[in-house]
Amino acid sequence: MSFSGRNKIFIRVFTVFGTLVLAITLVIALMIIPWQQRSLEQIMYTQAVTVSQSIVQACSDAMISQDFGFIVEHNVEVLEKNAGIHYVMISPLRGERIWIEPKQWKIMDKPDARFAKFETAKNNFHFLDLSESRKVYHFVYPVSFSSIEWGWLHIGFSTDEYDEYLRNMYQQIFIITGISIVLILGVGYFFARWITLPVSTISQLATLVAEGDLSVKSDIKRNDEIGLLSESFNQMVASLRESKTHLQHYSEELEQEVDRRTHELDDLNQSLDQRVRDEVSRRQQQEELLIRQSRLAAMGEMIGAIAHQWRQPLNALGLVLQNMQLTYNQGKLDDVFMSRSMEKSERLITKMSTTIDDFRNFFKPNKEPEQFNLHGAIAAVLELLEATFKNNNIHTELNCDEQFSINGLQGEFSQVMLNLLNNARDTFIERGTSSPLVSINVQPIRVGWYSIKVSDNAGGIATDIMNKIYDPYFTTRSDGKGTGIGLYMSKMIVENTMHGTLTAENDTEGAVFIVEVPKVPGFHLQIERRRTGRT
Amino acid sequence: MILSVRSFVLKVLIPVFILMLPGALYGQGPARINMGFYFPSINDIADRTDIEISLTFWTKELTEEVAVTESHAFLYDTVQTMRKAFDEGEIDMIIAPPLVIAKYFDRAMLADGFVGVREEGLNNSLLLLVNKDRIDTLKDLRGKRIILPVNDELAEVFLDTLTLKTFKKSFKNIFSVAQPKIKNNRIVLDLFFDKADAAIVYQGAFDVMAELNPQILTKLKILASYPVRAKNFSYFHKDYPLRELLTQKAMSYGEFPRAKQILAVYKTPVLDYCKVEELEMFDTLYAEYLELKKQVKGN
Repeated sequence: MSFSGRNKIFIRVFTVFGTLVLAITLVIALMIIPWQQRSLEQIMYTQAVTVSQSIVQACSDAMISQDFGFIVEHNVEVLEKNAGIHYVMISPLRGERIWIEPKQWKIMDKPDARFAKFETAKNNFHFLDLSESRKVYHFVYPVSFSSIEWGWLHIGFSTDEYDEYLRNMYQQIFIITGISIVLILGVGYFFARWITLPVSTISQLATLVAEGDLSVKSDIKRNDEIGLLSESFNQMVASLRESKTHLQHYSEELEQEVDRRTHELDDLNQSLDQRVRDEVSRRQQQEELLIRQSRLAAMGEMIGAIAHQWRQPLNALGLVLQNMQLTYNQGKLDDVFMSRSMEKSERLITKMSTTIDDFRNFFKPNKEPEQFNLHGAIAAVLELLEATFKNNNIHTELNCDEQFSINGLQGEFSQVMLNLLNNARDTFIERGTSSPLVSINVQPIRVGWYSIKVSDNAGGIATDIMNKIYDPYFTTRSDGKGTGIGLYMSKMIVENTMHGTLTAENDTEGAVFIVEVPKVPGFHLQIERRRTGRT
Repeated sequence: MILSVRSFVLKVLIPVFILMLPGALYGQGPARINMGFYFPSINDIADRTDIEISLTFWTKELTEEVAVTESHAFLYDTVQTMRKAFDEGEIDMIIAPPLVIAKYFDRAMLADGFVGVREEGLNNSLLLLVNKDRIDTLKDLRGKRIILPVNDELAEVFLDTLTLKTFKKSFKNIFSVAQPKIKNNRIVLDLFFDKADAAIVYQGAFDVMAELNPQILTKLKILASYPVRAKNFSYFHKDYPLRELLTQKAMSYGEFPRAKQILAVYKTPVLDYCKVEELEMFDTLYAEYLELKKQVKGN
């Protein structure tokens, strides 16, 4: 702390103390002056009433008998005895007024206008300046006997004592104020010094402490708050010293710990990078595995379907061969029969070959999105599954406008539909559903969007597994034939490739899978950008 | 009443104090001064009790200063008892109206004394004051109201002499005599306020009142006067041993601070010698009065 800072506290305390004492002194003085004036006036009033009553009592007979000689004589004596009375004026209602002073008296030729206005029914007084050097307390006392008004008694009292008392009072107040100022300067200085010096000392010590010097110590010994502050300061410095020591120790330990942890982190970072890479690699492998499994499952499905498709032409081809063998054995094999049989066989083989092409085309991975007809794509899937569905007596319904089309990868869309229909078929078979029916309803839901609902009547999905059905490798099939990747892959295709949604719910008959896809992938993003104005 | 006591001190006691002072200063041992006052002539100053108390008080104070160890003041209601005490040497000094002294005291027993006058050579005459508006000459006084000082034989003799000369009758047969007043000042005031048409007062009172209110001079006038130096004269007993010393030093009273202080405050009348021969004019007045009365009775 600087010296000026120390002075600031000192000056502040000194000023506050001084101002307070001076203000109190002045306030008291200012309160005393009017109070004293009122008291003096009250004293003068009481004195005036007493003197007036005394005069009237002494002169009452003379007043009644109009003995003005006695009145004058008495009042001359009164004035001689009382230097504090300048004059007495006897003012009867009827008759001449008599003016009496210590050195003279006279009959007044005419009423004195200055005093006539004071002649009222009540006592009254006025401070009058009769001349520059003569100020009087003019008291007017109405004189009456047995409620009969006689006149008035005017008495001019000297204000010398009053003025002298006021002068003395002002002098005393001036002296008191002066003494107060001296006391303020003296006592205030020592008081402020007494208050601020130890505080300043401790403040300076605190500054040294703040600068890092913990060797300082306050020597102030007092039995008050300042002394307590000094002790507390010393304790604080001691605690700071101890804390600093501990802190240094902790700091060293911390530095060591930080070094150790830094090494560990470096190691961990290196390990973590490797682990991340390993994990990514593992995830990639898993995904590849999933894809491979999905393809294999699809292939299995395809082979099953081909088998179903080929079963009838193969039987027919077998019958053609059996007929040819039988005809040959009967010797009836001629050119016509042979030709007809060969034609029929070729037709069957061509159909089987077409079937293979159809499947191959169905699963052909098309990497570029293109406009395709929804009705046609769904109908193709149903045609592929026609044989197996007929074999299981499963009926299908397709409600789709033939004009509906979307832009995307048809093969992947067909795979989604195939997965949903196969799941329905497997559930029918597993649950032995009578009159199994799969309904496919396609309709626009909002601008640029279609909803494809695949509903069955197999009883629905258990609620406890509703949120697990999209997990990879999750399957409800107990015969070990389920891979658990169909719905997972379907959701991935719909949401990631087609930018749509795949949800599932139950209705009164069974499960309902809802595929909502945009006409054009990313269409919804364009709409959103247009709405927000962002690019 | 304090003022009245002070007036008493002014007019009576201070002259006495002055008389005592030289003896004490000359170191003649314990000195006695017994003063005899004719009370009817000083009762306008204060009542008896006040006079006695004030005399004791002032005498004690003054005698302490002048080392007079024994002092007494005696008030006498009748001139006979006062005369007896004086003749028997009980009192060393008498204070009484000059006519009383002239009439009742043995002139051979008297020695010169002092008298308090307003100014040196200025009398305190007896005045016949009248209302200017109603009275112009002595003859206008018939049937008018008049006020006299109480117990003032000189005033009565003076007035009677005037009426006997003018009307051949005593004033009591000429005037409607109002209640006598103790104080001369009051007599002037009553005359001023038309309580009377004429009055007998001493010049000093009239002058004082006229000074207080000059309107008095416009309303009252002096119709007749009789020259008197003072209302009361003081004489020593011819055998009083300190009278010569006191007489020699009396005139230097103004040199003493205490005396000067009192004189200054109370405007003490000038002390002047008072010779025994001055009583002769009162003898003459009284003789004339008796002669006039005799003439009137003879008619």
